[in-house]
Amino acid sequence: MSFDPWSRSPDLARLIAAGYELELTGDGYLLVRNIPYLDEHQSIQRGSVVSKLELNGDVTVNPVADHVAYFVGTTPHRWNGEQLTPLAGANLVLADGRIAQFSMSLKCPTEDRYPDYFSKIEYHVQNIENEAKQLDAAVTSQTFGPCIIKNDEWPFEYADTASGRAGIGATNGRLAGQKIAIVGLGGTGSYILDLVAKCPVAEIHLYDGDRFSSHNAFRSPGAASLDEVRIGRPKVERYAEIYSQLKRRITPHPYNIDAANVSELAAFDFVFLAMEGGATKLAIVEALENMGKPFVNASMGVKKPGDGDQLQAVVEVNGSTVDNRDSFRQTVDFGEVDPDDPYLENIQVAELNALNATMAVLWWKKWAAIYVSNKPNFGMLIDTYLDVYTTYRS
Amino acid sequence: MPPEEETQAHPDRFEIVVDTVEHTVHAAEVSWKHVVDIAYPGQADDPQYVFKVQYEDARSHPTSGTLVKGHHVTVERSGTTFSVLRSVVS
Repeated sequence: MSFDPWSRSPDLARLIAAGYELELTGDGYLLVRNIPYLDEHQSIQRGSVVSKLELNGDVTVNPVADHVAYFVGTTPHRWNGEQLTPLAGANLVLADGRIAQFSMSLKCPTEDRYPDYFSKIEYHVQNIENEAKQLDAAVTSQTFGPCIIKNDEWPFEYADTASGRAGIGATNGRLAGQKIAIVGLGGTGSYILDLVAKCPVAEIHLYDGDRFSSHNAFRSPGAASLDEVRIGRPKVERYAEIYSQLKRRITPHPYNIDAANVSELAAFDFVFLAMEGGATKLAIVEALENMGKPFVNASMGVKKPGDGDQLQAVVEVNGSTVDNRDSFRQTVDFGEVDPDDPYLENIQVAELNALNATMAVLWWKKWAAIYVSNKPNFGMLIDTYLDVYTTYRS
Repeated sequence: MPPEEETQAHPDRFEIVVDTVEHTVHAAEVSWKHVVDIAYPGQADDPQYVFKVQYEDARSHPTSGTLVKGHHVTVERSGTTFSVLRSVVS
């Protein structure tokens, strides 16, 4: 079970659904950011309300024991110029150095204690922002802006609030805790990362020894700048930096996996193989089988049939678990790539890379019981020429 | 000789399409190996390679799908189409 307070605490979920910009600090405080208030010049400023947050695991403890809240900002005022009440000086230093200089001791108006954090936060926030609304009725703290958890256990830099469910949720929670390796960050591997980075897995490790160059930019997600292409950093370092803006604990390994270092994959719960190289791939597969690991291989084939210059392609994924090792071996091509293969000429078929990656991630999510599967398969294949979709079963 | 008369004169001629190119075969039953030999001459028996063969508009049922090594399909007099590829790049 992952740390997932947004999903498991209904009062926090309600605050998010109302559009408040929440932040959980690493030291046990709940912040609501971007609250409009009036300063001493009757100008509208933005500040934060802070409350100690008592969690039992990742569930809020209610009713709320402490009715005191804090304020980060300059002195808040009323619409008539008086200082806001109740207000006392404080010096609450948060983990990242922000200081709340005021405390507000507003007791719950209806009960002995606030029944939950929704009622406590809402009451304190309204006390402040209602004054600002006297000057501008349109200002609001309910911005539907990003919600952030500064807790090492949380897998993302901010929460997914647009979906209406800020937390991971029970279904995607089945991916939580998984340590994932992506072996090969070419066209297909980069799209695999693009999808896996949005999942609440514990760690993602990237293995590839190549540098990012212009041809990669045309077969990977997003849009690389000219400068990025010129610099030519190791692919995995570039991808780790970009995707770490969203997903925590992405680790770059700027070298290829081969028979000599394949033991590194023993650390992972699931492995995506998105690489070429028949003999090397076979050695990796043998090692993964010996480790008892589940993994999926993504591959495709592209050629120019006849005398024309149009493309014909097949896109395929094959998963391997202890239940189907032999079938996997018979289905996957461990031969070397033909030196005349048009893919090696860097023809740009990002749509095939994206499709191949999508199929691989879909296979993984079926394996993880995210998707229900009527007849479990170990492989899926799409042929673009005949529009055939095929599945393999053991 | 017009094509129609030729077909009537040679009832064992079947026009199939492999990777967009027409080929004539002389039996209605067309094996996986035969199709791969057309697409990748001399490579069908290489144990390292795995050729993926799809077909459509066959006479046998199912009329479209995957043709697996060791198996065959029954083709129409003309128009049965095959796609043959290796799947090895990423």
